[in-house]
Amino acid sequence: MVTAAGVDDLVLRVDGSRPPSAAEVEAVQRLCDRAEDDFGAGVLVVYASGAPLPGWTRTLDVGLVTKWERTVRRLERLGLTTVAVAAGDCGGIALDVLLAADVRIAAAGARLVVPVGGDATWPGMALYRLARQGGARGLRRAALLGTPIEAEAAASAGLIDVVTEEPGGALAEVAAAAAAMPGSEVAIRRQLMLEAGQQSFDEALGAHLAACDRTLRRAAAS
Amino acid sequence: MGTATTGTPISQTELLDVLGIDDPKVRSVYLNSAIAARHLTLPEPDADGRRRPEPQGELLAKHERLAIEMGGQALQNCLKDVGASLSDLRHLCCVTSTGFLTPGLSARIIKDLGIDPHCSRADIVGMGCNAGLNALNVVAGWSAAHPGELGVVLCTEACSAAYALDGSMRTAVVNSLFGDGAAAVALISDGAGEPRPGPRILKFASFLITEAIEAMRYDWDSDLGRFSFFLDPQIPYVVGANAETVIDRLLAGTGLRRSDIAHWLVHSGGKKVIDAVVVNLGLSRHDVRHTVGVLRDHGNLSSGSFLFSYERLAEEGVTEPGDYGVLMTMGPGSTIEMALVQW
Repeated sequence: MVTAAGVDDLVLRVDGSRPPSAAEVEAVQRLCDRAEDDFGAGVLVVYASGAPLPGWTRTLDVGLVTKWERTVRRLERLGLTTVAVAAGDCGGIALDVLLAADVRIAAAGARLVVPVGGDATWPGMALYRLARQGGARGLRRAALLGTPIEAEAAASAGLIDVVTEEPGGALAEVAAAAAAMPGSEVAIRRQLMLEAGQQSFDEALGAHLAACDRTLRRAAAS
Repeated sequence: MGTATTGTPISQTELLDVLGIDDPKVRSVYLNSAIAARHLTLPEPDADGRRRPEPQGELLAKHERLAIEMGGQALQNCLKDVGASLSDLRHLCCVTSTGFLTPGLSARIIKDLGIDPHCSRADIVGMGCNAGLNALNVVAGWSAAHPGELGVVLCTEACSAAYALDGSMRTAVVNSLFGDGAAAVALISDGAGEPRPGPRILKFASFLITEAIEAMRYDWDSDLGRFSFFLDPQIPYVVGANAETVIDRLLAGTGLRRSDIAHWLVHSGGKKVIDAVVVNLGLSRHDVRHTVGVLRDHGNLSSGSFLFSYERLAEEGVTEPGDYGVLMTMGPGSTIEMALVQW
């Protein structure tokens, strides 16, 4: 029997005003451990809010940044559906996890903020995800100059799925859909989608056929 | 560790020209293999410039010549890599599936290289692409019983000596895939208070998919009068469908999750089987970069393929002390073998 995680089971609150830290890395890793150990379907919910203050990079070194980026990558490949709910200004580590989530819900008035770190915008993997996911349409000013992206513009660019006054309702809808989908299978679909942009049809065909075969075997066994 | 190849690499398009293959279906098998080039030793052209199939006797002689030549070189490269000499070698386990000879490769290589004739030895013959891990398992046992003594697993496969040229799709699938190469890996168990660098083997897991016992075969073809390899088109999916069973068994009791594995060294069996393993184990393209790279540059090298990937990982220098890795091979039986290692 697969246990589905509901909206209150696996919750991460990421305060984007804080820099990446060992404690943040640990918190996300422990939540991913719990997700993998205890749940076979459902959602992991990230509440993302806050943007870095000037000087936020002072406590950083590239070793810590490496650990943080690896941790976000683990979240991005998790065997569950991940949902981010953004409110207010959302930058730094809050933007990192938002852009790694499967479904992104923005409260009205939310803004995505590429923070300035040192003398220019922070060049972490959020920049990579912005370029990949938003196709760089209208995002260059944000990426290069740190101009905030309003929620509606982020939705137009494909970075946000829904902008709403009632994030709770949108979240409940996603959770209901995700409860019926085995997380392992969601992860395979997500991986195929992530790779689709980087591979030709013929390169991708084998992996899709292997996934189809897996689905047929699961159906035959159930 | 060390590797070696023989002859000059030949691209898939060059090979199609050399073999005079015009059938568009067969050509597409070669050209969609995700292989750029392979090392092969082809039969010399006859008076008409055609490459005639070699009789089984010539293939066996070719196997002996190439396997000893490449194997000796890989062994010496391996010993050089670990700062050892031939006189340090205490156990040699040779692995091959592309030919049969008695006395076996271990005896011939010991004689040819002038290794101490008291050297303990074993030959693993005919187990196929998975056999490198079967050998590693056996030699890890020998090593545990002989702490401080040097043992080597030497996989040496002359796939050029396992070719049947009959124009059929069955042989085309095989001929489009395999290449020649040898790889050796040194093992040593720590004596008391003498820890050594390099990864440690923690555990093995094996799985025989008995219902697919006929799906990969290297057996006698009476019509051709030689051994011929057969690969069931379904085998990539069968391997993929069973991969989770084996990884779950490997990690059971270790306290490790799949997401704790930093490095995956998967046998470069072919594009389809790599795709199936990637999908079913939830791996990324990055996880199999060396598997795919070895396939592209060498084709399927049978038992030594995963060691070519291991060599590339070592050259990358990205492993950190404490990192976990999984070695995975698959082959006839049908079988999946895995080993868990920690750097």
